[in-house]
Amino acid sequence: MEKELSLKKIALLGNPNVGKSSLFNSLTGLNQQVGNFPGVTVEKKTGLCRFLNQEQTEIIDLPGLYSLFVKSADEAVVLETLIDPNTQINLLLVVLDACNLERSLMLYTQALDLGYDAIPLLTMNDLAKKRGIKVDLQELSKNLKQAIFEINPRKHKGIKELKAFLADYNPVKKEADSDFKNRLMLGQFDLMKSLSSESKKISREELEKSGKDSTDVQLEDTLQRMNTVHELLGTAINFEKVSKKNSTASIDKVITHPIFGYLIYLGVLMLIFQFIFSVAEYPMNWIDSSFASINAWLKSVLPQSAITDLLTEGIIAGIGGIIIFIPQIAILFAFIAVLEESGYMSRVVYLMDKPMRMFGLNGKSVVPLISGAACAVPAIMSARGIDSYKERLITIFVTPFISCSARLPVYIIIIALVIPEGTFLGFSYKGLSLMGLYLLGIFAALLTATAMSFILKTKDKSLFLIDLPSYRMPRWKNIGITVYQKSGSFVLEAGKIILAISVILWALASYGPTTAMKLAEQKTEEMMLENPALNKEEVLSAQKLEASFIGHFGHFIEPAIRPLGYDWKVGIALITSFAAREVFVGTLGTIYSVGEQDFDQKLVDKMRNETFSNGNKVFNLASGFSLLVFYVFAMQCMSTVAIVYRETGGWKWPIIQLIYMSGLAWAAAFVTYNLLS
Amino acid sequence: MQQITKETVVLVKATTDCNYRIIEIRNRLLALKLMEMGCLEGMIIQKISAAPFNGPLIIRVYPNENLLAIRYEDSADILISEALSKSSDN
Repeated sequence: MEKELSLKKIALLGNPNVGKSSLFNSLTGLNQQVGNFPGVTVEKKTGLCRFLNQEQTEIIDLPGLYSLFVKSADEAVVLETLIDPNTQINLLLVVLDACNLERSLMLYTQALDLGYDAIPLLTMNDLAKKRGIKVDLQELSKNLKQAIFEINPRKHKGIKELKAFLADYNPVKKEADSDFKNRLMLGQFDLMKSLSSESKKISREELEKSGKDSTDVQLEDTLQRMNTVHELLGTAINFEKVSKKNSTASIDKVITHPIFGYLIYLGVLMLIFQFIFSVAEYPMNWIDSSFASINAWLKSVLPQSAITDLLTEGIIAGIGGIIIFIPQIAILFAFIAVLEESGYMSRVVYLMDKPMRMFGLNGKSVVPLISGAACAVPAIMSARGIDSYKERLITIFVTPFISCSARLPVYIIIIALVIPEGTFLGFSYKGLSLMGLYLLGIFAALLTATAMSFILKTKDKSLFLIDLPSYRMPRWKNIGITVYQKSGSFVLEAGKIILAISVILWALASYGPTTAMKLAEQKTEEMMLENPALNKEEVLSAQKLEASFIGHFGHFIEPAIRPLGYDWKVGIALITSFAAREVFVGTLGTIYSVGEQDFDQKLVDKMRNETFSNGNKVFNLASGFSLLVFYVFAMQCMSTVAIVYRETGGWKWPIIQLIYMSGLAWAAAFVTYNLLS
Repeated sequence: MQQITKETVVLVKATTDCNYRIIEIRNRLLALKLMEMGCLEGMIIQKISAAPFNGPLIIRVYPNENLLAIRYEDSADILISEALSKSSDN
């Protein structure tokens, strides 16, 4: 039974690293959206393309895979999309790699057996020629009984012809081969989320009856298919001996060298780190000061009112808090895109597999972990490149343990306060303490990762087997699109949560019970009468903060943080620093009415003299270290919570992470405080 | 199942300057995944490099000259012929 249909939706199918994304970018340009496949963290890219005068057609870029006999939950989304009875996809563009025609055609025949109309597109023919692989397109097209297009999306070759061909193409949908569909079910029913438990049970029973296991079913089908592919290829492919030395082989001699390979990787990581840590600072400072001047300007032109405050202190400050991440996200993803596009990332996985596997992590986890030292938000986003769901989740979970740049101001002020001057083996105590804090974070990350790798169960059958593509020059357009998309999806998806929380925090810090707020004003007047030398504005904001809801909340949580050595003032700073850790320092500045001049020194002086009601000092070695340890472990960052929500597609993991990290922070701070006091 | 004899060795023992023929892949899941990636029993391969401390190995699969990385532990399941020829690449 054949049905002729109008072109509704096209999906791109192909092996990994065959230039599928380049083709997608060539067809859709910036006209694309990135989301998740339902229920999983696999990126779903869709875009629109107009073929001549036709209406716009939707194009889906399916994740690359070798076979529809999928090995992981991530790959399963491809199969589930294709076998969905309600799918509107009615044409597949199957990208064939000329360097690997057998395996490309294997996937192509699977697509045909699902009943899809599939047009084969041959890519990488330039590379194949260099390797001495000669593909006779006419012969192959004759064998396949199907026109083949040779394209080179990197150079935009063949795209115009393809578009013209598709403009008046009417795809034909056939019935799927029922034997193949049955084998697909038997081979992987346990990985498929869309199947009802009833149909899983039927498949399981059928499989048991046949006396085989799912691997047998898959092996039989694949072997048979490979034989078919060989017949189809026939004389359409020829191999010639080429005398020219393979440039990839020469580069690999250095890049994958047991010593130089690691040194080069270390250099690459340091370069990335340097860029997201230092170079990003310039645009970040610029964004920061721009938002400050917008706010100052608005305050000067708008009447003083609650709405003006909401706009300036709540909304615009909140948006500033989102935009500030863009330089780091853009830089990190530009680097990652270059590493992926050039073929280097696969070598990193090869080099780092052994060391990272000891902790249940992936070779690709190194990039998120190192980037986490600048900021957990782009770092967690970069975990998306990790193929295995379990390893990706573990990486996302432990990355916030790495001390990020926002913790540094907190560390510095407290170290200045409680760590004495002096040296040990030529290193200052202060420097050693700072290093200790970073190491503590790394230690917690690795320990947690190891524990999680034992706890988390996975149905994935994936073996470590990776394809090392030939080195290629990155295509700058692809990199630009990646950077644009990553920044955009962060602003739109994590940004709204960050904005909401920052407005709530602002409201809680600006408002309080009416009587308490009035009392704060009265108290300020009294204090001013007693000591006219005080800065009235500073005193008033300190009094108001104490009277606000957050101030009340600080008092409320005091019993919980008293065992850690903190008073309610520190409690207030802990709560406000959920907006961003460095806010801790600013909040203490407000509470202790420290003016802008010589801020750090004055704050340290004030903190040094701060006492509990019984006259004991609030900040001593024990409470200082307790606070430091607390900040190493605690997930005190709403942006991190928001990005974990986006990356894992739900609230489950960010909540588990928040509880785990806060619990660990509390316990570690408690132990530290009691050991030192 | 093929016995490891004088004529056959496991992949981990291969030297980098020679080509070998894959005789048997003794782990079905590995055989499946390798087949899907275009590497079947009977094909000629060459070991290119190995990451330190029993890290993964890189093999080149002929005639396509594809490079694959495979874990050391898994490579013990790949049975290869004795060295066929000196590789031209080295």
